[in-house]
Amino acid sequence: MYFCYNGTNIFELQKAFSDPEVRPYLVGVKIYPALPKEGGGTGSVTTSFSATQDMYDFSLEPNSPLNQVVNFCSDNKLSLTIHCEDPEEKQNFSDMFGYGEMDDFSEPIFIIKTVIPLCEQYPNLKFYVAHVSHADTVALLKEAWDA
Amino acid sequence: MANLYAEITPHHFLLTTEEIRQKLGEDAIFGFCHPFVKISEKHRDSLQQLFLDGKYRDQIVYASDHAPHPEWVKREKKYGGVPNHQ
Repeated sequence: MYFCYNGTNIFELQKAFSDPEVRPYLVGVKIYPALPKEGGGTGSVTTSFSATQDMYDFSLEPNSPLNQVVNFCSDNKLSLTIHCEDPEEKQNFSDMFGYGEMDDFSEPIFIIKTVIPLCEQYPNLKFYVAHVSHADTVALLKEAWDA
Repeated sequence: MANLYAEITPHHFLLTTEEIRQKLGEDAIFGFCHPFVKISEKHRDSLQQLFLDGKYRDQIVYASDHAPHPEWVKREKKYGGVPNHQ
């Protein structure tokens, strides 16, 4: 599994995939929504809390960082695992309430805004919703599986 | 939507925020993960129901969310993931 942190990592991903020693072990990619550039410190990435990190562009526009990674995975039959927390929603939530005060909805919002459209756009690509944590996400997933 | 899969981890599956505080202490650094383990039991219960409902078993994978950060990194930088969940 290759961990892809932001849009620039498409080049690292291509490099890893072209390495004959790495390629046999590269079966999928995991990506994270990163932090807002300003007012950060509360994002959802696992191993970086830098407030200066570029926000991962999760737009579905052609040649967006997300689409580059998704296209690469689709072209090379790699699965795509996504850390599903909407960065803006997470930021707003933590600004308003702080951690541990109430349950946030950044995960199900991200499923609606990003994951479902991606699944529809790339029907041959396997998408994994990492560490599901929210009841609304479970409901959305069931709805998608039943559709 | 057959190309969509869900990953379930032990901490989200078994715990609530309050249980983490009770079991791991108030700072609960080793329970600090993203997305957070939720406060309401309904979230944990929904995952358990999903697990028990065999209808969706082909769409579910089980994962550790293992993150091998040493204690000082977890404490000072609040890195996510849960160590020793292999």
